[in-house]
Amino acid sequence: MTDSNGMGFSNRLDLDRFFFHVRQQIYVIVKLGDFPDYYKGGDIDVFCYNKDEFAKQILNVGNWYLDKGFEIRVTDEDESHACVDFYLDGELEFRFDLYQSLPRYERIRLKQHYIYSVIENASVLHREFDGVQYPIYVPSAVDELLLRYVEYIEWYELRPDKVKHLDYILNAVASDSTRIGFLDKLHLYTELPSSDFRDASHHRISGFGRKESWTGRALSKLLRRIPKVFLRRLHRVLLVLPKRLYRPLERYYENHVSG
Amino acid sequence: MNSRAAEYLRKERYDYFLVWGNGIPHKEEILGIIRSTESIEILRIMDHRPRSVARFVRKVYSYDYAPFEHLKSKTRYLLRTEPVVFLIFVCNKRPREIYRGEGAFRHIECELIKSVSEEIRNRFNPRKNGKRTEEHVVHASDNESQVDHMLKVLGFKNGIELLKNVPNPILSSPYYLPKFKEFTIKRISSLQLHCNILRGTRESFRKEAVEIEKTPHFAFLSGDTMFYTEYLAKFLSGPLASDYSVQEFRALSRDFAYLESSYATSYILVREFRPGRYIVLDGVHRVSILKFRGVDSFPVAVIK
Repeated sequence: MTDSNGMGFSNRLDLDRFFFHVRQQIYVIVKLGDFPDYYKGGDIDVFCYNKDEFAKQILNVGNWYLDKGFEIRVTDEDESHACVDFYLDGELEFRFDLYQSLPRYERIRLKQHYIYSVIENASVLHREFDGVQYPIYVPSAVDELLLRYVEYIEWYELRPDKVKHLDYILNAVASDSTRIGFLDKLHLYTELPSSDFRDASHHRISGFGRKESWTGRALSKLLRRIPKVFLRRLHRVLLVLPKRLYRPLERYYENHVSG
Repeated sequence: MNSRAAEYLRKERYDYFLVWGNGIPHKEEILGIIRSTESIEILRIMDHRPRSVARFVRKVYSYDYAPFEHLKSKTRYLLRTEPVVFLIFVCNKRPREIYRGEGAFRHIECELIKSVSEEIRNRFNPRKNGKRTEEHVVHASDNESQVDHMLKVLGFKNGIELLKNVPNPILSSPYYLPKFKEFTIKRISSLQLHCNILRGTRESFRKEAVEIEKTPHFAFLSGDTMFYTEYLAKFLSGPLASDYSVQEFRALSRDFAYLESSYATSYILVREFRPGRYIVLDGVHRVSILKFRGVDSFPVAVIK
């Protein structure tokens, strides 16, 4: 099977099989793309309440593919992010990126509890597997716009193709109700970082939601503190120094002049 | 949810049973009672030979709710018992916690643990004139701080963290493995697998990697039950701290269905020790059963 550009989908994994199996889980597929079609090396981002349980369900279905020569590599990145990668003949076939909390964006601040809003307001699409209808969950229209906006802001400098998200948003917000809904939610859940924060993010190389290291954060905090500490010291010196100079003069005056 | 709330709402807790010297002859039956208790999973069994029973008794009761002075007369009989104890650390999956006692000694304890230890005492405490004496064969924990204390007394400096260790949140894995972030599920041939088997004596032992067919486990399945029975007798509750038994292994070999239903992610855990060669970290019994059944390749989780 090919897409509109004539490129071939891989589809060695039946994504319907996986999402049929996780139908009892609470989740949202962030970017549906050509679901259930995918390109070799493709991925799917899933927001869910319990990434460990979700990963277990993926493995449950994955066992079926082990007989077909697949290997499943699981990486528990951190407390809120896990990757389940399917490899065939040593090459990545498909990745499930499971997020239990929002990935960290560097060029826009998104309130952490936005993930719950995305999950709880999900829209349902109906699909079929093995003759049985089942639901998959995708972001609501407004959340779709907001997530695309975040993706655009995060990446437009490095990936000019991300302008497609802006085009999509501009088309979608043509109606007043959508525009108002989108802006309301955007204002509620996002905040632009300070300019030095944005400048720092220019230096990043790659990585959607890449975290700034603890050392980096501590160092920048320290650097920010240095001028403050210096000024505080200077202020103290300026206050104390005149007194120290004045006191001997005062004493001299008392002893020699007034006496 | 903050961690305090999560801690409060969690569904399971850890406990221990301590079989005193006067209960050692009934060790197997006591284990059987605990093993058959629903919602209690035995995690670790171990023998301990305290240098001084008196000091050990004092240490055990130093974390009790009543001051030791109050317990002195109750525990005097222990000074006459064999200077050896047997400890069973368990995961209590459905604790029934209640408050007991009044005033300063009011405390929380688990009804389930209490009922199991009472059952053991009813059966094995010494009897006088047909009545159960209060010379208890078993002591059990009331709360996790006592478990933590006991493990520290036994020399595990991390205390209860030893049992609470979750090596990986996605993969079912025993607490005694170190934490790991990555693993690969793949199908490998049984010929690529080796199992660590203990050699030597209980006091001085070493691990040796052998092929599956050379394990006492495989021998047991092939009809040579003595090799496995002697192996357990030699090392169990010493270097072998997991709860193994002939009966359990027999039942497992009969009913075992690898990665079926609720065990779909209970993979055999291995580590690659040479290119294309793997050592079993958890699952020697299961590997032996599969091999004995003639299964030549099966999925395993390779831990990095």
